[in-house]
Amino acid sequence: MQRSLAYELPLLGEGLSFQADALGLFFALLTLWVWFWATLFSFSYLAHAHDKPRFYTFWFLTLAGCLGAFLAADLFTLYFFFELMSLSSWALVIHEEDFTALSAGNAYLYLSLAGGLAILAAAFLLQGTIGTTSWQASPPAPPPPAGTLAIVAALLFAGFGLKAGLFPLHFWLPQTHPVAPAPASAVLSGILLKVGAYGLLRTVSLLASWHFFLLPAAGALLAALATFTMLLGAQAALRQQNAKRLLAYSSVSQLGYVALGVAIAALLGRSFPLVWVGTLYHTMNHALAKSALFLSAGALGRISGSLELNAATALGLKYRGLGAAVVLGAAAMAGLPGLSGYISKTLLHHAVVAAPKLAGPSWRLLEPFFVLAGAGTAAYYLVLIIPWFTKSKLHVSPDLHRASPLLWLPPLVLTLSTVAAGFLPGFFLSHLVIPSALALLGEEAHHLKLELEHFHPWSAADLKGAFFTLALGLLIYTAWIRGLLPRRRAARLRRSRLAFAVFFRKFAPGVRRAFSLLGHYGRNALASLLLPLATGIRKRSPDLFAVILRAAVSSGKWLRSVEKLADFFRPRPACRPVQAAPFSSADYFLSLTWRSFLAVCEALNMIDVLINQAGVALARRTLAFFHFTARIDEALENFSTSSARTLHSFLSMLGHLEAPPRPAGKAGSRSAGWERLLRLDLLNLDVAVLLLALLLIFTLLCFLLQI
Amino acid sequence: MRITLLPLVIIVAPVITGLLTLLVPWSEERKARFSLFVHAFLLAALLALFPAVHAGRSLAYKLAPLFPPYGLSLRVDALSFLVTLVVAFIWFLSSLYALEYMRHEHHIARYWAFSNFTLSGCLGVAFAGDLFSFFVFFEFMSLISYMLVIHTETPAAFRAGVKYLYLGIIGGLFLLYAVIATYDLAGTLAFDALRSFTFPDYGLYSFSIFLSYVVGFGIKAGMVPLHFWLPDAHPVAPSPASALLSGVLLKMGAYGMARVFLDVFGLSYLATSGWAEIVAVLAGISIIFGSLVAIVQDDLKRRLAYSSISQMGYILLGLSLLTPAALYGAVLHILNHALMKSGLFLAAGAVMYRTGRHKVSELDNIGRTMPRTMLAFTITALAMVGIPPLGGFISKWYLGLGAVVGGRPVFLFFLLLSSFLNALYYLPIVTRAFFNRAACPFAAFQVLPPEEAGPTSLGTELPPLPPRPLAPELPPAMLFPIVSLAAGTLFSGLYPMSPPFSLAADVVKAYFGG
Repeated sequence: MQRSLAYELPLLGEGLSFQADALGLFFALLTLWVWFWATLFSFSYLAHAHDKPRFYTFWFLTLAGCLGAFLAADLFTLYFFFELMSLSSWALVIHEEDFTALSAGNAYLYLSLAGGLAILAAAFLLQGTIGTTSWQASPPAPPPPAGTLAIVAALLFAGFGLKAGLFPLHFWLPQTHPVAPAPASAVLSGILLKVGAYGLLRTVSLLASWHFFLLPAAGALLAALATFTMLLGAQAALRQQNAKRLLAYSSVSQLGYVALGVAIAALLGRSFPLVWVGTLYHTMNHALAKSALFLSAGALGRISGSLELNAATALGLKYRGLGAAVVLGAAAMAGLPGLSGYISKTLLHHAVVAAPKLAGPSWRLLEPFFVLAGAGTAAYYLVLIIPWFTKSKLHVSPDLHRASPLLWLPPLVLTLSTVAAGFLPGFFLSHLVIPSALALLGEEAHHLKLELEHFHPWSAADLKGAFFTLALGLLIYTAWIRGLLPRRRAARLRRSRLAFAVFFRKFAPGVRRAFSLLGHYGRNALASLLLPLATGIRKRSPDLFAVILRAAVSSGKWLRSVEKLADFFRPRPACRPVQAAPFSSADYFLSLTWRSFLAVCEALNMIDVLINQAGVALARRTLAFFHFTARIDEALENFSTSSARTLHSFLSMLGHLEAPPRPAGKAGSRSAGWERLLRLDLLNLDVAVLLLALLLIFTLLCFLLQI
Repeated sequence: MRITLLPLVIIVAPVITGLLTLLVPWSEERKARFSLFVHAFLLAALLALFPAVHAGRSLAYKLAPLFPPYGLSLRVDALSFLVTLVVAFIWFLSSLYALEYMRHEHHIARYWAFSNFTLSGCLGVAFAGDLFSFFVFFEFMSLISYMLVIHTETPAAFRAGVKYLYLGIIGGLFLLYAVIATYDLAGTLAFDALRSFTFPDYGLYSFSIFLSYVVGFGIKAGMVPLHFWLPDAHPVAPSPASALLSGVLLKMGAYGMARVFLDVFGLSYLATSGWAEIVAVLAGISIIFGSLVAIVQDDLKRRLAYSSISQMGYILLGLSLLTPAALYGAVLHILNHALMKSGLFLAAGAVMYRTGRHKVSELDNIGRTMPRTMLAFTITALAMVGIPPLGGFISKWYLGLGAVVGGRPVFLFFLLLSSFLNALYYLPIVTRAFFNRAACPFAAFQVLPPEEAGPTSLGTELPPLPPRPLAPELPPAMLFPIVSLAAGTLFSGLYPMSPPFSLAADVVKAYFGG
């Protein structure tokens, strides 16, 4: 049994409980190490920044959130610190307060909150069914009913997967990480993503301890998503020209590796403990190297004033420390033997190879994708580091002044720690990674140490695999970047094509504009022509209207295709345009979702206004009804008066009655009527007589007709 | 003086103060100060009752000569004490705020007089020992608070006031029917007697009584199909009065619902008949509907009013789930929502007072001119969203637990969705106030064409900050209530088991035992 420190803070009703076992301490240590160097870096990076007190407040609040999340003993406490981390890191993301930062920050904030709410929902369900949300209760809590557990598992995977940037929920990541100030990007990518990874690991461990029957299926699904995330991140990173965006996509890809490790852990359970070790090692590697690379990118921005990779031309030669940091960090991420990435990827590769043996032959599909993603990693890191060491005549570097040591020392130290982790795997494994893996595996993992005796990182087969992957990466780089893509220099013009070229260069924009204007006005004119026509026609024959409407729609399509044609003739730049907005389709989707959501809200608002107006109308109708009844009352009274008078005159004509006194004019019109009714004066006796007569006639009729 | 006489004193003192305010020829400043002093005294007097209530003693007092043959009876138990504590505390802070705020308004003496009368009505509702006294005080409160709604005398205020008044009367009629019918069935109206009385099942008759109670209190609490007076009436009142209307008077509807559920019908009867489902479903609809409509409101106070509809839905949901955890959550949320919503209204009023802006879209960079106010606003808004160390989270946690334990996790989904929606309409205000240096026309998720998406992270091209305005922050008499309400939400989140909040546990213990 491992030793662990536990502490309970009697706050928030339920109490916040902390537990420092090996796993939590491992992550906390990583966090503090990265945070320390990032803070040092931030002193020089933010030397002339605005709102520094605000930045540092949220900087340390985020640190508290991360540490609390890692050291929490139950899901309730974890949720608390998770929210703290999300909100305060949001303030870091939008620190620059420009448009891109604010819109990326919005996506980040609301998605983080949604992820947090998923975790909260899981905490609710656990607390409600088994009475505790603890990770490791002793004695272990009984599992909740299977249906609830399935929902809890889905919620936890969604919540932590969102934080870790797993495939369908990854799109916020490449927007968010580049817009933050560099130290913040470093910890966002290096540490905050690890909270998601940590949560996924804990979740799988918890579900495995309950022998959750759907866990292998969840593992298979997660593996598919993780593989897709790896490849997607890699191919998107290959196309980036902005250093930070490239690194952000690289984070997507690398967290895919971590998620793949978690998936295989879920699939194989405790029968193959090596995969837990590999996942943790890769987490450590990514935290150290990626934060170092983000800090270097920040230094690039500070020195050259731009984050485009073109701006880094020859900077690595001028600033040796920075260049070394970039190269070592990239090599560690790509898995060059001798650095920590090699160890972690080798461990994960072992797991990938072991999966078909233990879980069925269909898992053999995994290995090619794994190797391909590794090669992609090597390729896009070549994209990142090559400009730092190429001299260019075109790009005249500005007057370079001495960089403050705080700009290059922190990334260098972080990358040197990856070197240490690569050269001393035995030390790091036995002192850091294996104890934390044991914390996840619980009591049953005695044989883990034995198994690791057999693991030798420098075996010939593994080295061969690593070099094969790197070579494939080089191939991809040369093919993709240098070969297949159009060259940056424009192709020499042949005389035969000159006329066309001149024509297109000169007239194509005008033609295009004319076409688009034409289309615009055409559509408008068509609409203005059709609309009155349509309203006229609709009255006569609805079918004809539909036909015309369809015709209008198809003409719109035709106009659209003309516009597309015009667009096709637009002169294109010879080199590939820099892709400025990442995942514009996702953006578009988000904006569409947001708009439609707002439209729904507006509709509800309209409904509310309608309810309101209906209430007012109802009140008016009620008033009108009152007036109406009053009028009926008046009419009845008039009728009764006149008929009574008739009856009375009839009776007096017969000589049965004295002449009645005349009613007192119109003086008290309505209230006098009511008074008369109350006093039962002679006139109303007449009414009574009339009513009785009517009743009598009615009865007689009934009697006669034998109803 | 016997301690059982204290509730009567607490109810009568504001009436006398109000009359004095109307009749005595003091200066307006002096009247205001006197009222504030009385409100502070009431808070102190209530705190003197606390030991007795916490020990579980039920303080009862009967005033036979009034309204023969029933008499006016007063009674204090944990639930009513908690509600009066909320009333007195919020009233005191709001009065402190109004001391400065109302200085620039007209008819100051009238405001203070009717504020006092309304306070008396609220306290009487909470202290009433039988349904008849309850009804009397409830009607008094609903009708007299009309004067707070129309205080500004603008056409909008009159329009809202007409709705407020007539719906108050209609609700009162429903209540009157229900009270009479209850007397018909039970032969008594005292809460203590009704609690031991098992409600007979006369089919439609009993159901009509239940429904009348729900309509009567639902109108007052702003439950969804009956809510339409609320978003008009709350924003038009002066800000301290809006804080009272939204923070305190809505709670009276919820309190009445709680009394009827717990004492008149009893939990077991509601559970077997399944009538509470109706309220639960309507509360769920309120929660979602209020939040969704609040998102598109541009007027800040109107947005807060819609948020009130949603939050009252939480309380009604907690009452109608009929589990101990849910009841605990509902009672806590009465307290927490009073703290949060009055804090938000006071902060919104402070912004109006200082800058004259009342639309969300006008609040760019307001956090730089009024940092303390907007910081308090932010904390309270986060509490509304339900971010952990703050009060709103605790009550939501117990409400959600109640839903799960009661076997209805659907309502858990409602609660969480509403949290998310709350974030969608509160946090943009925070962003606007603090993080909008560029002050660009900013819409969430708006897509820029790729050419316009500028360089990342080195935003050096931004315009310089506007110079710090000369206008200082709020005067301390206005800042103190706002800040202390924000601090109150923080305290209630961190220590929900400490004295004023532990009364909620007493309430649950009284009705569920254990």
